[in-house]
Amino acid sequence: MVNNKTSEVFSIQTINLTKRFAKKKHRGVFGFLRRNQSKNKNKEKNDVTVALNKVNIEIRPGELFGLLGPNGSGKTTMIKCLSTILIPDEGTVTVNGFDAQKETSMVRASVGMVVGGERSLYWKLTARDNLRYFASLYKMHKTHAKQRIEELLENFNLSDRADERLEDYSTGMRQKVAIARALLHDPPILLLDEPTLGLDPNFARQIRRQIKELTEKRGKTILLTTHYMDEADKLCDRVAFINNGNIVAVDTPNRLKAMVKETELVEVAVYSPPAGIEKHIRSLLPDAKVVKLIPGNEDEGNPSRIKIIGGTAEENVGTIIDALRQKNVRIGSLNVGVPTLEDVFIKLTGAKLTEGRMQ
Amino acid sequence: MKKSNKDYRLREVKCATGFNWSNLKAELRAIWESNIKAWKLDFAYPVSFVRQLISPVVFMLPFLLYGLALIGGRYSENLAQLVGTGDVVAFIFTGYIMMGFIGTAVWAMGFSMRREQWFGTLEAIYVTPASRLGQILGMALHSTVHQGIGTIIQFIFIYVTFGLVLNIGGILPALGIFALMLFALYGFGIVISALSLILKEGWIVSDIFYSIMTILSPVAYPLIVLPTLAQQASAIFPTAPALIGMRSFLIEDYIPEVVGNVFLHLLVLGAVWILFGVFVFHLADRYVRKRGMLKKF
Repeated sequence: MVNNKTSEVFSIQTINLTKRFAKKKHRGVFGFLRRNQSKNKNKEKNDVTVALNKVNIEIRPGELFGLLGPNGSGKTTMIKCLSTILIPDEGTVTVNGFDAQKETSMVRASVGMVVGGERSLYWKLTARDNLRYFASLYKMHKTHAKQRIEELLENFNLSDRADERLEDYSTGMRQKVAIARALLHDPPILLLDEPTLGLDPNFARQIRRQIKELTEKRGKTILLTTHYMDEADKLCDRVAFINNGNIVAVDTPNRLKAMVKETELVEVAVYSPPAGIEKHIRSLLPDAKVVKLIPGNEDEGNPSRIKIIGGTAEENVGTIIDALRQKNVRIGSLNVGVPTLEDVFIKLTGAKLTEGRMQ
Repeated sequence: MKKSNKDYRLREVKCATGFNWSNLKAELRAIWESNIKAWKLDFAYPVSFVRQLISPVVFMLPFLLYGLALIGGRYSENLAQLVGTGDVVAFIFTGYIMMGFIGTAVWAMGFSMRREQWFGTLEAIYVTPASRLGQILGMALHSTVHQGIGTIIQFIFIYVTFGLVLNIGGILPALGIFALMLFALYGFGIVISALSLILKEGWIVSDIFYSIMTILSPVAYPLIVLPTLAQQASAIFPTAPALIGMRSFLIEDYIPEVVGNVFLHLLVLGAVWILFGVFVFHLADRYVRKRGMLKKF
């Protein structure tokens, strides 16, 4: 897509992309009877979730673009609209210069997609068989497909186990096969939906390295969705924050972090915080712009965290410690730190990246 | 090395696309590979695979034994008056072949997309440039061959056990009718596949149509025993005319007018069902993509 105003070329461009879904309520076995009895049918008609709300995004060729947002924010819907799996309700989507609604086959030929992770493969087939089958769906010539499969198996260190069924693979290995599949037809654009979700740190690191190489060495345009802030920070050239289907901000990670750089940040790890602690601390720190309790999972060794953005760190620290002591809350650690993308996201939306859809 | 924005050439793809011979070959290869994949998945469950091969014999036996017990022998005068042949074994065998291929359309083809949904692979298939219909046709090819093997096993069993007698010279023209019927049946299978994408309870959709077609096809009884309305309704499915035509070649006296009508009937049905199938599938495809139903069960 060529932007006429600037003559700039975009691999991916969305203009006012909107996608709504009807909210389905479970009404029980005889729900269809109650549905007919519904007095306010208009209200029911309007009961929709806006998954994407007039989203405008422009991604340049060779760019590694991150879409960062909590679960249910619209990341996967966005990827699905770009890959033609979903038809938008409004707006236009252009991928590799092709209209996603009118030239679906060309868009599909232009993108490689990793969605649904390891389950999107045939576990009863070997890695080689999986790749061979999908190569045929990508309409590759048999000889070329064979060469390409060997090349990808080699690149992803899967050659030794290429003839084993995927049911015997680890999650990380299956994810590698899923990425290899997306690269089969050497597409100019890759859509990666949470590619490191559920992987152990070692595999996640390997996958991230390979993603980085794909843009740097192969010139691929990559749209990466994630809710791991570190991943987006380290990998992406630019990042867009998405929340409740709205793009909240788009910029480079450094510029985004600069939005909270001037303000000081305190993070306290606490165990078993009582209800209302967030409100209590907020009342004690009138200068703080954000006071947010991020629940942890103490059974897994992750304490809850209280984040305070704004005000003076020195004053905030004393007040927080006093407040927590008064409430007999055990403090695990305290950091006065460098802002992360999560801090920017919290500042912009009031939500945190790891929590579900904000109402 | 990173491409600069200027160097980048949009609209460059490496997959076969457009209306040309290489794209058609690629689509045919995708159908073939879908078929190969289905065989590999079958072989992954060997017990189920063996069961599927012998089940045509096992399921046919009650029909045969019931018929033989009722008549008290192999030859029925009443059947001979109705259809021109009194050989119950040959009549039921030829009918039961058809039943197997009805299963190909409504179960294998009709269920093909739902099966991918269960595997979790449907979305991954949907983002490839290959036609979705190729998936269904790949499954049709696999199931037709599978069913063909089952039919050969059936034939050997009936031949050895009951001494089946068929007009050998009628086999080739009967296969011609059968091939015509398959086209129409494939169109029908595409419709079922589209419906099961939308309605989700795929097996119920398949079960309903399998029952309807089995009743309206003269598998184990002549069409004439059905009520007039049901006889008329049977004309919309390819199995009834195909069975009449095939039986006429294989076990009955060949009547040129009847066979001519059957050929014409099947040609029309083939064209109508294929076009209707593609149209309904196109609508279903848009419907599920509009509503985000591809991943839903």
